[in-house]
Amino acid sequence: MPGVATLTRVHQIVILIGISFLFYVLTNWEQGIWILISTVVVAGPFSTFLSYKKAKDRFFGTLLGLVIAALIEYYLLFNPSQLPIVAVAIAFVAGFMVTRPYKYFIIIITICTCLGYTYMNVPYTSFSPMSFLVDRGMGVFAGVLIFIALQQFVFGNNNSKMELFEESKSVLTKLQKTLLTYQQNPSTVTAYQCAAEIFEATKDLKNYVDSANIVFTKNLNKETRFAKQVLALNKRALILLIDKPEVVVSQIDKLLHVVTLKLNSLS
Amino acid sequence: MSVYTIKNRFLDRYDPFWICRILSLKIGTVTILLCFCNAFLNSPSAPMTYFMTVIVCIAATEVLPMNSRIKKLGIFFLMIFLLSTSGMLFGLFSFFNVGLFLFIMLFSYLVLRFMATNPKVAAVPSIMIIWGTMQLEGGSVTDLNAIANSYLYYVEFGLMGVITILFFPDFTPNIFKSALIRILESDIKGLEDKSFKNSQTSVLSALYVIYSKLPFLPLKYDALFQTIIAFQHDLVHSADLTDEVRSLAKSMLSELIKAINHDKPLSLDNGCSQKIKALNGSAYNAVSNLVQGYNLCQA
Repeated sequence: MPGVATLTRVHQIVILIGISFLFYVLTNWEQGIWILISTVVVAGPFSTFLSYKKAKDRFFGTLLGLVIAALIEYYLLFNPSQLPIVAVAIAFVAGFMVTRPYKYFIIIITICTCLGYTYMNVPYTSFSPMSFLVDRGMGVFAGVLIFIALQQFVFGNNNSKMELFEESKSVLTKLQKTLLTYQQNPSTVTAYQCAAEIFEATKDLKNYVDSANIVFTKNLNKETRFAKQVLALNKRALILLIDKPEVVVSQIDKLLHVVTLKLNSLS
Repeated sequence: MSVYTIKNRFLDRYDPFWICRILSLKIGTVTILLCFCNAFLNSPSAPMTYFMTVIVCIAATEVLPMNSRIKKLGIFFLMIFLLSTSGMLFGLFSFFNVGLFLFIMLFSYLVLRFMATNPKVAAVPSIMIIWGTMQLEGGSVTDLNAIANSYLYYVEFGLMGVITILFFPDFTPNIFKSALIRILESDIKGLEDKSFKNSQTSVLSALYVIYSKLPFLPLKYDALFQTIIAFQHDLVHSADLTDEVRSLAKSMLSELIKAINHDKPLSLDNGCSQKIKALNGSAYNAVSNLVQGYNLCQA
């Protein structure tokens, strides 16, 4: 069952998509579809924290992607028969960029989308690189702007705080479960397995805390403080499990006690 | 040194666990097949949407963890169906401004509410909405006849994806081995510097990659995983090692990395391991267990 913060975020994203679509239809802007695409892509990671980070990367990544796409399209304008070779080359590069940080990922996505658009309509259109760059660049800029404006002035920070709290609680519950698993079978192999699980479980929360200063512009709030405490507990568990095998069993018992007390205080 | 050897000093910086290399090879393969399909079979006048749909779906089969080709085919067909249907639905509503607005709101709500809350398929709803939106700018199908034609083209291009999934080799052992190399490299650092800790992000990432790939590998890799962990405890972070043993163990690990890179077993009869045996019996046992565990996976 999704949490309250998740459901609220669904409603926020739907409103964001609706407003972007209205902006595209009512302004009758050529290439205005990029506004809608941008807002969907930026809001896509679902969490407000990841969205903010993505919005910045999206803007710069898209601009670079547009420049590269314009150059490729300019080349293909005079060498249309080489489209398959260019497509295969882009495909190989795309494989390397798909799982890279978002900035690189969005560069390749922009190139593919631009080429897809151009060759989706008419394979050999008259083409002016400058208007192509400006139109799409402005679309992306407007999309990111709509997202930031709605997020800052309409949606506010309350849901972000709840989101951070729900994620922290979920990570803490997973930590408790993992430590209990270790307690039942305290061996070196289990210690490393548990460490791997803890490391993976905290990835999202680390990203949230990293972006917290962008989302909450004011001083440290209690949700961020709690998230940092949860991360510290996870870090402590990792160090105990991996670096201190000689003291691990007794220390893990103490840590588990602290985690359980913290979880009980939340409910 | 080939691009596709397990250890490549240029690519390892960007792709330490071989994941991008597999994706690149798979996406490249399907694109070549799609180009052939477009050249020699009946194809639409503007095939780019079909190309991109098949490529995205092929990437999904590699990104989502699955241990059999049947499951990969299932996910592939499901993704093709979801993306193609999203595009066609948007196309059908594209005649009406108000109707399209209401449809986009309803469609977005439903896909986000029921799919985005599931972490495994969280990215799919965004892709579905983007795919639908793309159809609004020309090339969209707006009647049932065009929809039927479009589905048939998806089947035709989708078959190239099926061929790729069925005949593409399983590179999961390469992911395991590249992560093993990362751990061995950090072990060498650990032998050089006693203050080096395994709780660093680089080691934990490699550890997680190995651990997450175990369900998709034969049981002998489980044994190797256990040996790697025992090795950390028994040798790398052992307090009673002389400098000479540390230096010999480092050479032995370098030899093992070379063997993994060339996909060959490593002999324990070399001078290095014999010297370790003479100097420290327990250190030799740790090294020999690791090497034998690796050799068993090569058999």
